[in-house]
Amino acid sequence: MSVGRIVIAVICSICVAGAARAETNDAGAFLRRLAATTAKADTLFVEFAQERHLALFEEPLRTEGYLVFQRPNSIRWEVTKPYASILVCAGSNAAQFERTDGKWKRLDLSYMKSIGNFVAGMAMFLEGRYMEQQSDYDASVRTGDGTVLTLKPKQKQAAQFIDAFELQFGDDLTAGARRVTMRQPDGDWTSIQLTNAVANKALPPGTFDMQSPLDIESVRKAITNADR
Amino acid sequence: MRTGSILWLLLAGCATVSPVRDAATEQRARQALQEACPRGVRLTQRAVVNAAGRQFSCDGIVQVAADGELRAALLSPVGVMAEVRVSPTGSVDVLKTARSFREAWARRYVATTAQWLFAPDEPALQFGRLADGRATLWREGPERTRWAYVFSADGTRWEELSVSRGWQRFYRAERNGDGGFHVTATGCDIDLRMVK
Repeated sequence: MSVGRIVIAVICSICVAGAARAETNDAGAFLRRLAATTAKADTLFVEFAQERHLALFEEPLRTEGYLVFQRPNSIRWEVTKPYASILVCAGSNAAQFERTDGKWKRLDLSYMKSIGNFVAGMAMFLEGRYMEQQSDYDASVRTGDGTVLTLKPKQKQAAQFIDAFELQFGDDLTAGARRVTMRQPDGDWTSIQLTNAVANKALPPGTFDMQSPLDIESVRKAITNADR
Repeated sequence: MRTGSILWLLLAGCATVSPVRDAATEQRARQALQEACPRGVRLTQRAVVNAAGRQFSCDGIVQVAADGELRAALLSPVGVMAEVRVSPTGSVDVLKTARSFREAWARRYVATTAQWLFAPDEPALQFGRLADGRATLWREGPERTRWAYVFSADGTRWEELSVSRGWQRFYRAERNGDGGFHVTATGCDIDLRMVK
C-alpha cells in the first residue's frame, strides 16, 4: 500500500471514530473498536490543517481545507488556503481542479493509476476492514493526554519511507481535536489536524462531480445548516 | 510540447541587445530583480506542470539565505519529489529525490529554474535595451548560452527571463500578475503561482 493510501485511510479511520473512551493499552482491542466505529460511517465531512515540516526549512508549509467522503469509494480533498485545489475521486475515476485567475481549471491528470490505488485503499478502511492492516504494521497505543495510536511499518521497504504514523485522538474519541502525524526516517514529518468532523449527513448532489464539483461552501452549508 | 511553442522558442531566441548607458533604469531593473526573491524570505509556489501531454500539480518552496545559498523543494501531495541546495558559487547538491523523480530532473528543472528565477547572478549581468525599447539585464555563459532578464522600458517591472543557446531559445519565463511565472521550456510548460 502506498504512503498516500495509508495517510488518507488512517485519516478516514480516526475521523469517523466513535464516542467510546480509550481506556486500554491493548492496541488490538483499540483497533477493533476503531474498525467497528468506522464501519458505521456512510459519509464524512471534516476540516483539515496540514503542516509539512522539512529539515531543509525552518518554517513548515501550511495548507488548509476540507476532506469529504461518501461510501463506498468517493473522496474529495480540497485545499482552500494558501491556494485553491480540488481532487475528486469516485471509484476508478478521478479529476483534479486548480483555481487560477479566479476560474477553476480541470487538469489532465498524469497519475490516474496512483489515484485509483489511493481510493481503493481508502474504501477498504471506510468499509471497516481496518484490522487487515495489522499484518503490515506494528500497532501500539499510548494513553494519557488523549490516546495516541502508533503504527510502524513491519516491512523494510515501507520503513525506508515511513518511520511511523501517530494518530492522536481526543480524550473522549469524539470529533474534537485530532491529529495525524507521519514521521519519516530522514527527520521530515507531516501533521494533519482535523476539526469539526460531521459524519453520516447526506451530501448534496455535485459534491463529487468530475466536471464541475459543487463549491465547498455549499457542501458545508448543506450538511451543517450553518453560514460562515 | 506543441509545434507552435517549439517554433516560437526557436524564432524568439534572436532578440538583439543594444548596450546603452542609463544608470537610473539599470538601477531600477537590478532592484526589481532583487525584490523578486529577497534574501532570507521563504517563497511558496503552486505549480501545474504540463509534460508529455499530461499534467500534475505540486508545491514549491524556495529560500535564498543571506549568504546567497539557495534551497528549493518540490512537493507532491504525498511526499518530497526533490530537494536541492545551490551554493553561492552555483554548485548544485541534490539532497533528496522521490523514487519516481530522477536526480537529473532535480538538477535540470528544479535547481536551474530556482536558480535562474530566484537567485540570479545579478552582479554578472550587463545592462542593455532590446529593439522594442524594453530594458534588459543579460549575460553570456559557456556554449554561447545567454540569459536575458527583460524589464519594462523604465526598468521598474521585471517581465520575463529568456535563456537561449546560440540563436535558439530553449527557456522562457513570463511573469504573472501575482509574481509567479509561466515557464515554457524544452519538454514542459509550467504555471508557477506565488501563493505566499
